[in-house]
Amino acid sequence: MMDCENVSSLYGKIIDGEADAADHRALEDHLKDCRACCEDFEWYKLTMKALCNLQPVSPPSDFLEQLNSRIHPNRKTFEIKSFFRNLFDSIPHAPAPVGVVSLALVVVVAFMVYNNVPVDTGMAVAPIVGAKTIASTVDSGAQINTVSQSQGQVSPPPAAAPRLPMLASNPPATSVSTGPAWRFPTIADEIGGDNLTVESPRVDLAIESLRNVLPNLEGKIVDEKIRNNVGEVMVGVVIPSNKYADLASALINHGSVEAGSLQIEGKALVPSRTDSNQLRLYIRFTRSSQ
Amino acid sequence: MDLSPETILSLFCLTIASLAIIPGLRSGVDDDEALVARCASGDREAFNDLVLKYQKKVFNVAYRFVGDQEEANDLAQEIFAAAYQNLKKFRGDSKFSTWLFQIATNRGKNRFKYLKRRGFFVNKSSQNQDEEGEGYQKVVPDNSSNPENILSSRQIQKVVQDAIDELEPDHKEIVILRDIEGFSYEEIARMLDLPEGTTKSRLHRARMVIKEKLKKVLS
Repeated sequence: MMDCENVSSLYGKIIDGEADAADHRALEDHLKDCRACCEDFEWYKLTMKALCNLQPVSPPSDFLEQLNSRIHPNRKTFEIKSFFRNLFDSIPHAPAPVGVVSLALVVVVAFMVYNNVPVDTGMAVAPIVGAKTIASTVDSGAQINTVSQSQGQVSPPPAAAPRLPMLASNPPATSVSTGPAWRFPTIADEIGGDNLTVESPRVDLAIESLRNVLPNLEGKIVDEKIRNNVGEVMVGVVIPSNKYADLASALINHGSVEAGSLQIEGKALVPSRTDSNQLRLYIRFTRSSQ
Repeated sequence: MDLSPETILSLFCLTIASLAIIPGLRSGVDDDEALVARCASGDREAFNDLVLKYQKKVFNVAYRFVGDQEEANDLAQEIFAAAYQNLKKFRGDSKFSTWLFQIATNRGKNRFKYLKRRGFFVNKSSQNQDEEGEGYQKVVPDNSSNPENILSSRQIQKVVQDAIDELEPDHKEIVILRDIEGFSYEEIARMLDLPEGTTKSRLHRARMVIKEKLKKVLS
């Protein structure tokens, strides 16, 4: 008959179902006569049941998310990259056409938008010419038009409208309709329609003329904004009120405009803003179409 | 060769049936293998599928090693992260699950040793006794109740977990793999790189230790 120590080594085999008939018989024989081992075997079985009955513990519901953020800390960036990387294989049946068509569409839309923007590239490439040449290229139909801002009323055009070849009003509605359907807002839109617009094929030369004539008129430049994307330059000047008419004349005399067509009626030229006897106005320089 | 409509119909049905059955058989055999291959080629969704498949079991193993929900969560994530990083080294000599639980066991054992050195289990035990006041004194099985109910009671569960916590790491890993997770001796021997005989003898000693602890607490 087996001793107690050897019998206990059979417990596992019995429980695991690996014991043969001889093992079973040896255990039964021993347990009949050994109350301690009988009790010990009961505890062994209870232990096995306790281990097998341990309640499974579940991971938190966001376990996968936590793990992914641990493994891929920059997952967000990756997703954006992977979108472009997988552009060609996201649809396995038609990989290349989808990617190519998408890219082509983006290029076409970008090209269309770009073409709708009235960019003045002529400023940079305009030939340097003399005053006489400029005067001959100025659109004779250009005109000057001002609006009384202080009274809030639109002043009617004078009987003999002052037609300055270089000084033009802000584009009338009819001329807008001939251009692109959509355009960037211009400086004139920002400062209002009651200021001067100077159209010139050489904006830089026209501004230089303005700089040269202002000292003679006791005026000065107080502001200057350049908007290359729409090809405009806006200059804010302060001059004595009574020198307003002289300003255009001086510009013409300086050679930037055609002198023969100059007719200025001082009354029609109402300043955009007056400060006692000082006049502050904005002049928008824009490149004229040839 | 003339084929009657019945023959054509039979062949058609056979073809459809084989198309339906063969992929099913194939997926049953090497389901993990296909996922692992996809995962090794950079498919993260495949790895997510593997995680979803094994997360409960891995988490359970982790919990049995450390006996604490928060630590188990961290450990389980560490196990999967290690698997993800070493997936390219997995040669397919064994089943993926065997390889994964080999990582789980190694990491679990290391974490257990680390926490034990820092007195984690002593602090946890005293903290629990403070919370429960009388500790194990109340854990006396009521013989009039159903034994299954007694064993599944929260207190008995805790007694068993504490007994596991007190095991030596070499004993502990075998008890967890065999008695709690139900792996075969062969799988455990492969995971732990031990002879089957050694595995069985260690398991027997571990069970006897737990039995004595339960006897002491519950008697």
